[in-house]
Amino acid sequence: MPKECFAIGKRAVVCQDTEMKGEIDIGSGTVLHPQCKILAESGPIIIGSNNIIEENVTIINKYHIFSYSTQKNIHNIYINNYSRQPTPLIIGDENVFEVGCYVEGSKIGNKNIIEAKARVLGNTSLGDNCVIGAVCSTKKDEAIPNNTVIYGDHHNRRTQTASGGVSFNK
Amino acid sequence: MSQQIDARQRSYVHYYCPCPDVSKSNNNTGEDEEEDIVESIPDFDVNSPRIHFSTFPISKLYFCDDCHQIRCPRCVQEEIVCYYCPNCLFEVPTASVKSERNRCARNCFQCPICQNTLTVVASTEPPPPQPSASSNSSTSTTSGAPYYLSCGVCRWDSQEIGMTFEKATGLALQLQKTEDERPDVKEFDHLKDHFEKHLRLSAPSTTLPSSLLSIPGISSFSNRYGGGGFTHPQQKSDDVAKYNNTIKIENDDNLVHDLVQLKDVNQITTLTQRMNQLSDQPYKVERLQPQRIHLRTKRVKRCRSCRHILIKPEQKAQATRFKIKLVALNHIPKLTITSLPKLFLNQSTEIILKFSNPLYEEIIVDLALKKDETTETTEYAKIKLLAPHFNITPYNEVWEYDEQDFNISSKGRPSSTASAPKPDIGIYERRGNYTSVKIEITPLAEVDELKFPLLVTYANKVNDNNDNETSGDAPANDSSTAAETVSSDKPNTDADKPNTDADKPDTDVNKPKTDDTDKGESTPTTKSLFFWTVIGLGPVVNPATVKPPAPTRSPLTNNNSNVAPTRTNINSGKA
Repeated sequence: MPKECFAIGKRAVVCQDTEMKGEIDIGSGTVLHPQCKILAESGPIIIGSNNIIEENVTIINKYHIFSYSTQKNIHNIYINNYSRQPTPLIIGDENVFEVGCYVEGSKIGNKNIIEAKARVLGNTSLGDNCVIGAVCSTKKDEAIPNNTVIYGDHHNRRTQTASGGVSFNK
Repeated sequence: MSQQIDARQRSYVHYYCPCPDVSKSNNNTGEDEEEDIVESIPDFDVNSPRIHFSTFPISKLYFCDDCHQIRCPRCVQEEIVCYYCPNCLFEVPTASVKSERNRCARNCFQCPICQNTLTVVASTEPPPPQPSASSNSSTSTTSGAPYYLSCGVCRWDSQEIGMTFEKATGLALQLQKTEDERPDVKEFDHLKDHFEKHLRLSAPSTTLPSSLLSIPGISSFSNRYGGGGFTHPQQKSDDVAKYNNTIKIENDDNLVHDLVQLKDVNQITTLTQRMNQLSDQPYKVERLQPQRIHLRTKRVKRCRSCRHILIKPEQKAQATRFKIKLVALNHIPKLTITSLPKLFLNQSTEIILKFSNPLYEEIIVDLALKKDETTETTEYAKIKLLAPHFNITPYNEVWEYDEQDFNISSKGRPSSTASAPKPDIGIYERRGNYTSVKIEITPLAEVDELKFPLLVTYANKVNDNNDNETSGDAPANDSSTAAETVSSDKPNTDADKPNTDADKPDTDVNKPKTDDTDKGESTPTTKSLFFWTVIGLGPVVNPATVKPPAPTRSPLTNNNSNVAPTRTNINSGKA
């Protein structure tokens, strides 16, 4: 059971009815809307500054399986060994998590937009300035490079021009 | 019929439109020709290949008030009322549609990548050095064009291809110059000029409606087929002077070389992207251009045989109302399959078909599989209509709001008492403006899609006696007693059922009798109409443990299956 420990920065807003678990660090200027969930189950979640986390967003640091081995125990029965390491989920600055999105992931860079009901799955890491479109999802355990846009009902991908990111934080 | 392709939507009710044979039977609409109608019912073969082109879901059908017939999209005539842009809802005058190439000539563009609508965005110039922003601002606005197009879905923006605009309005006009300079556009204009000379020579005054004139080439078409005697101009139009092209577009040899070296799917345009840029259909993503949005039309639809208007939209692009809207959904009973268990080979199953009445009058429905037949055995299945004759109470808006009170309505009673001996055989449920009936199906072959035809004949009851009765019967107490009487009737009908199952001739004798009594009562003011439907039930499954097909056992199982559902009925009715 991880320890409960919240560190909340200056000018950060954490609304009522948010569900927070485990070791969470929230940077300055970040806003957590009501009804969002930050669940640091396996390791800490470190959120940078000036992020917006909207209603019904789930950000979860799940148990990740890093090594897996099968051994015989004393009763000659095979058991599975999972070694769990408490890795932090690090979220950069100026990201927007829109209503109802679900983020597992291992690392999220800066200025990303996770649109409504989008999902970032498994050990995925996001670069900077990415957009995960509404109701789109990433594959499990992939590294998404900077400026990637996932959009449309076939989860198409393209790379946007680096300057093209419209900042919604202003 | 895209519905049939999808495996999940295998069950359907499609309505048959007899439009290929429209001349045969559109005259007998009078009330006295009941027999004629019955005789003129055309043969109907569900397995004919033509069926796919003449059956439609009810949502696509219209109903001609004058011919009293279903009209499908193929047997209506369309006339264009207005052209408009679906994005800015600007109505384009018919005269300028052609010159604007059938696309919006204002601010509406579609994304070359994902075909969504683009928005005009003012570029937020990054103020380079923060302190001297005031001095820089004037130069930055004058140097770089401040507006560009941006897609909210895939984040494409027109700066990627170096397309920017000076003003935020009239973007198409600003693009016009570059568009006109493209070699393919030039060539087309040249070609058009070349042929237009000949067309003008050969086209005398046309008598076409103005709405059609905007269609390119229609004037020459009408000349050829409409204007009979003009042989001379036609000859003239045939010997067109030789055309010399002005511009040569060279084939890009490097393209093949580039395509060979492709590694990423995203570097090449998709088929839809290419098809949206028909003029040059580029392979390279960088050469995709935003396209102006296509105009849409609003159309009047007419019945082809009587020229009456079936659909007439409001002239304005903003208005979504229809001045005339004769859709089939509002005029003929709607059939829906409400219960469809899995179909197993040689196992009798009951499906439930719901008939809803959209009319404000009570209707009497007669079902048949062929002409006057309620049972049929084909090579695929044995089908039995358990309730070939029933009535549906009229539609009432109030029922849409309160769900509880209309359980077996008061209006259902007079007719059920009137329509003699056993009104409720095979009726699963009677509520509001719908009646659900049971159909017994025994698949005899393993097929991908079991379908059967159903002839629905219905008669409006518009006689006055009936109306008086119903209005007198309205109080809620009566309705509850009606419910009780009907539910207490149920065991009786169950008891009767084995009989009817055992000897079919008996039911056949009974059926005409009920028909007669009903018709005798309501002939003075009934309109009897019929239509064919095709009911698709999806695949037939062969159970893994193949039972011996034992025909002697089947009536026994039939009985069981009949009793069980009706019991549950009664329970559900009470609850």
